[in-house]
Amino acid sequence: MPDGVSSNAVSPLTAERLSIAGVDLEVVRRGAGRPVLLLHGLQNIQPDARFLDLLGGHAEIIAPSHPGFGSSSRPADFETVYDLVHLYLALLDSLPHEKVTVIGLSFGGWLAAEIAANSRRLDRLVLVDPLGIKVSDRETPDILDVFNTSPAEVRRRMWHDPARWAPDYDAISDEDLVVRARNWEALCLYGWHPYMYNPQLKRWLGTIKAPTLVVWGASDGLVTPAYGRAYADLIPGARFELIAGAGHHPEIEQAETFAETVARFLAR
Amino acid sequence: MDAWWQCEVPYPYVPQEILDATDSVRASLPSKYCDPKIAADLFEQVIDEFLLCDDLGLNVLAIEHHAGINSLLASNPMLLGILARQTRQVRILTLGTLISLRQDPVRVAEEYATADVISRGRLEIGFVKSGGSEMASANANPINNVERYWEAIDLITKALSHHDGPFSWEGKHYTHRHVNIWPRPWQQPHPRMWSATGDPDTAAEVGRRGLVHVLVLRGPEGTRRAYAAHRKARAEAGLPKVTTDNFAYAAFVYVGDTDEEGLRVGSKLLWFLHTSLKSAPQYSRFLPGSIEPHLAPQVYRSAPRPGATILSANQNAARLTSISVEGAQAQGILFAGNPDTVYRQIMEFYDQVGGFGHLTLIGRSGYMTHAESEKGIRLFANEVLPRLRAIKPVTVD
Repeated sequence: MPDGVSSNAVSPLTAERLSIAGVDLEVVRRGAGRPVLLLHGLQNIQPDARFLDLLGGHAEIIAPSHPGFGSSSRPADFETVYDLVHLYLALLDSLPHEKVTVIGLSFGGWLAAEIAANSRRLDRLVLVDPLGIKVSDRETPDILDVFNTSPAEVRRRMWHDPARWAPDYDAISDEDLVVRARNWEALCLYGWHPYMYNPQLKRWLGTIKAPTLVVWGASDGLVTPAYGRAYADLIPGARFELIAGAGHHPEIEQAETFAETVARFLAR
Repeated sequence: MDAWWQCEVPYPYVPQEILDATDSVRASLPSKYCDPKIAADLFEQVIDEFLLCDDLGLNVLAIEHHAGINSLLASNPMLLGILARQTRQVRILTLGTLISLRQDPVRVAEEYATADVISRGRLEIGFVKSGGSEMASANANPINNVERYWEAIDLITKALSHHDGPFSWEGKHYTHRHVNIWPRPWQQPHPRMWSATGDPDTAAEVGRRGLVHVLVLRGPEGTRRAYAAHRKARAEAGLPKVTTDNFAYAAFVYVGDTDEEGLRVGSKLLWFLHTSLKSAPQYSRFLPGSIEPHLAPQVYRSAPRPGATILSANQNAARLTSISVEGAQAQGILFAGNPDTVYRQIMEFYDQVGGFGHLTLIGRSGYMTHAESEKGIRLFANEVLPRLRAIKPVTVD
C-alpha cells in the first residue's frame, strides 16, 4: 500500500490521518467496494452523516477534510484552489486503484471539476450543487455571497427546510463551533476572490472525459438549478438530476434519494 | 505632549426610522440616504475647522473609512492633498489610507510623497489595519489582512526611501517590478510612521519597528496592555528603550467654558459609538478570520457564555455601542469639561497607562454644530494644549 494510506482498522466514526505531499489530512472512511474520493463543500464531512453510511453500501468512501478545514493542517503558504487541486491530484496518484470515482459537493464540486479536467484517472464524476464557474453576465452573481450576506438570508437560501437542518449555534458543541470557525476561515481564504469560481474553468469543462452526473437540490438558493443545468451543459454527455425537497445539501436533506441517485449512476 | 485634531466627517442626517430598520449603517446602507448638498456643507465646515487648527497651531489628522454614516472620508489622499496645500504650519498625520484594502501600495507611496512635498515636509504617515465592514466595501479578503498590512508598509517604506532608480518587488501579496516614484518625499529617508492597533501581536511588531503606536478608544486596561506589549517586544529584540513620544492615544475630546457646556456638547460625540457602529453580523462577529477559531464559542452564540474575558475588536465595539456619558468618561474614552477638567482627565489617563506623547482628538462627530466645534477647538488650543506641550517625552520601563 502506498505511503500514508492505511487500512480500515479504526472505528468507523473516527477520522484517520493521511499525509499527502507533506500535508496532514483528517480523513473519514466508510464502506467497501469501488473507491470514491469525496470532496466536501462549505463544511467538512460529519462522520455520522447518514449519506455516508448509505453510499458506503455501494463504495469505499475516502473523505478528506481540506487543509484548514476540520482538523486538517494547512501549511502557511497553502492558500489557493490551485494548491487544493494539486493536493488531490497527488492524493489520487497515491491510491492503489487504477480508476477512482470523484464526488464533489458544493465548493468540493468546484475542486472535483478542476481535477476531472486535469486527470485521466477518473472513472466517474459526480458534482453535487458545485460552485466554480461564472455563467451569468457581469452584474448578475451566480453564487450567493455567503460572506457578505446576512446569516439569516444565507440560512434561508441554503436549506429547503432550515428549521430542521440548519445548525443552531446556540445548541451545538464548543468543539463544533471551533471547527466551523476554522472551516469558515479556510473557505474565505480559498474562495474570496474571484468569489467561488475560476474564470478559466468553463473553457476546460469540455475536456472532461469521465461520465458525469450533476445532482442539484431543487430548492438550492445558493446556486440555482438553472446554474446547475448550465454547468452540466458544459460537460460532454453529463446527466443532470434534480432532487426535490433539498436545498444546497441534497446529501443531507434527502440522504436516501441522493444515495440512490448516485448509486444508480455508479452502477451504469 | 503633542496633540492632533480630527473629524471623521460623519453623516448623521439619515432618518432614525431608517437607521432603526437597517441591520447595518455601514457597507450596505444605500447611498440614496446621503444628500450630496449636505455632504458638501459638511466637508466645507470640517475643512474650515482643520484650517482653524492650523491658525491655532494644533496639528491635524485625516482618517479613512468606507461606505457608512460614520465617515464620508472614503478617500484619505483627497483630504490629505487639501490639507497639505491649505494648511501652512501644523503637522499633518494621515491615519490613514487603508493600505490592506488597496491593490497597489506603490500608488499609496506616490500619494504620500506628493502630500509631503506639497506640505514641504509636514506629513506623518499612519497605518491602520482595517477590518469589519471595510472588507466587504473594498472586496478585500479578511484572511491575511494583517500580512498584507505589513507587506504594504514594507513596500511603501522602500518606495519612499529608495532613490536610486527602479527596484523590483515580488512579495507574497504585491508584485511590482519597476518601482521608482516621483516626487520623492520631502522628509528623508521618509516621514515618521505611525500604526494604530490594540491587539498584542500587532502591538509587538509596531514596537519592534519603532513606529508611533496609537490606541483608539481602548480605555486604560487595553491601552496599557498594548503599550506594554510594544515595550516588551522591543526589550526582547534587544532594541533600545523608547520614550512616551512613541505612544499615542485617541479619544473624544471637547472643551467648553464650563464643565456643564463641555459635557453637554462633548456628549454629542458619543453619537459615533451609539449610532454609527451598528454593523451586520456578517461584517462583524461572523467575519472570517476576525477571531481566533478557539474563541468561536464565545462569539458565534447569540449570547456569550459566562467567563468570557478576552474582548475581540468586535466585542469591544459592542461594548462601546451602549456606553453612557459617565462610563465613557470613566473609561478614558471621553475627555470633556472646562479646560482644567479636560487637562486633569487627560493626565489621569496618562498616568493610568504609563504615559503617551500624542493625544489625538476626535473633536467633532454626530450632530455637533460647526460653531460648537470651532469653539471647542479654540478652547483646547488656547487653554489645554500649552499645558500638554509642557509635558516632555520620558523613557518608560
